[in-house]
Amino acid sequence: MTAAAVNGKAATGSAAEPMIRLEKLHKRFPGQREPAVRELTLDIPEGGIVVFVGPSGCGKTTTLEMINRLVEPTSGRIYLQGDDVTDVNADQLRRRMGYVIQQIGLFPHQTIAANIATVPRMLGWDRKRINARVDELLTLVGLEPAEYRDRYPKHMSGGQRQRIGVARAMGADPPVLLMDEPFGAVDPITRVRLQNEFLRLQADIRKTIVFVTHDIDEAIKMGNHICILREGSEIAQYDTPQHILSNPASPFVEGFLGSGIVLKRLNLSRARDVELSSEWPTLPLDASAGQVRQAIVDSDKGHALLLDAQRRPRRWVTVRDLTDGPLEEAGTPVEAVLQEDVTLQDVVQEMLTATLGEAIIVDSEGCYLGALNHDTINTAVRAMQQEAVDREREQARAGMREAGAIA
Amino acid sequence: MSGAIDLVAPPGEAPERQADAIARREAYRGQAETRWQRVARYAGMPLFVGAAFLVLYLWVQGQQIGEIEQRVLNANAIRRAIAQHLRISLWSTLLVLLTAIPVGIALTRPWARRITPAILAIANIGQGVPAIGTFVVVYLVFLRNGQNASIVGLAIYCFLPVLRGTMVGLEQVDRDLIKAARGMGLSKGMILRRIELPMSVPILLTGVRTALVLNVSTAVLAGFIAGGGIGAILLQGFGLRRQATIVTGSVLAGGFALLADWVGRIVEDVLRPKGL
Repeated sequence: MTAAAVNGKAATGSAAEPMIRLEKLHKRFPGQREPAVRELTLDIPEGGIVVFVGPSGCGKTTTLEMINRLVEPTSGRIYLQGDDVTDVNADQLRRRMGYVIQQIGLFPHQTIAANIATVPRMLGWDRKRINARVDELLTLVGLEPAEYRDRYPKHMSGGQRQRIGVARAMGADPPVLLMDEPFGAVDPITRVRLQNEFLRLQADIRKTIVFVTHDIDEAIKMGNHICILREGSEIAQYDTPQHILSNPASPFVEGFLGSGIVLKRLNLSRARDVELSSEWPTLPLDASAGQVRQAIVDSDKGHALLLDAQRRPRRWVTVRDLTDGPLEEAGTPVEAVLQEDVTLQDVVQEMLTATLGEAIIVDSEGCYLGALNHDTINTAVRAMQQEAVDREREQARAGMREAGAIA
Repeated sequence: MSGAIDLVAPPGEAPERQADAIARREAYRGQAETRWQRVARYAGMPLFVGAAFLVLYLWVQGQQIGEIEQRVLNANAIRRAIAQHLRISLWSTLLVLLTAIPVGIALTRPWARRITPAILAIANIGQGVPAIGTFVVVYLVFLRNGQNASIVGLAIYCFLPVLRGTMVGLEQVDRDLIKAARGMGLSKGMILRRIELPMSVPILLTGVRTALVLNVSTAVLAGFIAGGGIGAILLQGFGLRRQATIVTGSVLAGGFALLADWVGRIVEDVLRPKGL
């Protein structure tokens, strides 16, 4: 596996043609002794997110910009869908790839619709098709077309601009998106939300995405594959986040992963992947006080969770809270309510600050699915570790078999 | 706890709604304010200049005007002088725009980086030399026609501010916009037309307004090289030592310079791209 990773082939296990292939790509900027990118060979598989991550100055952005030839390589070849695009018209090539930068670069003098229509307009789409596409994309990134179409970028918040930047990059439905620290310039809360949204979006659109970041946590969260780069864009390890976390290829990778690998692994699993506890008694808001009391006494939990008619969690109540008043106002409002596709790291964060130490997990409509607490997370983490150990053992065994076969 | 709510919230909820509201409020207030300010600004200048001209007219009416002075200071002669003055200023403004803006665009292209300082040095001479000198040189050396020599002389004099305005306007365009545009496959020409020029319009137009004002006020010098215009009235006033004529010439020159500035500001407001 290590040999494969060094050759720039992720352990994808499939022999399908890569969407993008970089072959001995080399870049030396004039007036600099050391090349920014040294003879990089790399395959990017179709339909997944490959994250370039590495310390600043390692050449990851230069590498990304060579894919759409904003930076022209000194030598080497670039292939897109099997075609050699090293010498084709760069403007034409870029229209086949979406591009998102940290500063987004929305055109302030153009409406949101005109911004999103940039590439379709260049490709000569007719007006009707462009308008339909703009509305489709706005809806896709969660903005109401009628409300936002004719606004100007200065009237949008940072998060909204970022979404429009993504919509604009997908204007003509390119097979490839290049994203250079796309969520780097927004506040942490918005960043988490944009990341989750983007992953949800990617589950539908399945684009081939090359994503640059310097943040290993973001890389672990976003990447189907992570390519850890060191100076000169040398590949330190290119593999799935799971493998990198369980088998760092070198002390450099280990150092870059930093401390708290277990915590980082929490970023790989989502609430829906683990077994939720359903120990809490749940009752509808229109239950009688007697029913609630009975349910609390029957369980040994001390609290009951009240759900509204749509099964959305509303209140925590104890026996003492059951006075004459309506149940909607009894007890305490629920906190730490999270959707099932958040990462376990988000869950732990919320759990730690919640009074009851419970995170409540809901589906996309907000309906109650179950709860997560310290014990359930603990079990999940141990299972993950066991899995990693098993996998390593299996690989070692496979390696021995292979060696035997050669001998 | 807000983190928890944010994670559950569907896109476009909570903080963004707030940002929306703030943005909308600001936009509304911004428009409401400028609308009133604009009306005041637009109406103020012509009213002021009109009042000055009226006062001038009444004052001249009250003066004893001799027969010789009558030949300069009559409605027909003044009208002709004003028309000449404006013709010279407008042609020269047009000439400056048609030369300085393309040169400004060219000098900001990467391939021209090396010759930029040399061109700027030459343009500096145009403004550094006293305007009257430029006029006389153009008149004596190139064009023995007062009016045409004035137009060219003025154009040379005003070349630098417009060139500078164009270059500064293009250079202050956010590099990230150009990078994003390049990354989406806009060609260099498209980037210039669709991004750089519209984005530099406000600064470019400030240069144009400066040129217009300079042109209208400096066109007074046309009088010295037989180009006519308001300058001719002034010169005759000095020659005849008639106070009424001198005052009339200077008030007219000042008034039209102010009006030129006023027109320039309106043009700036109208042509400024929305969303900036």
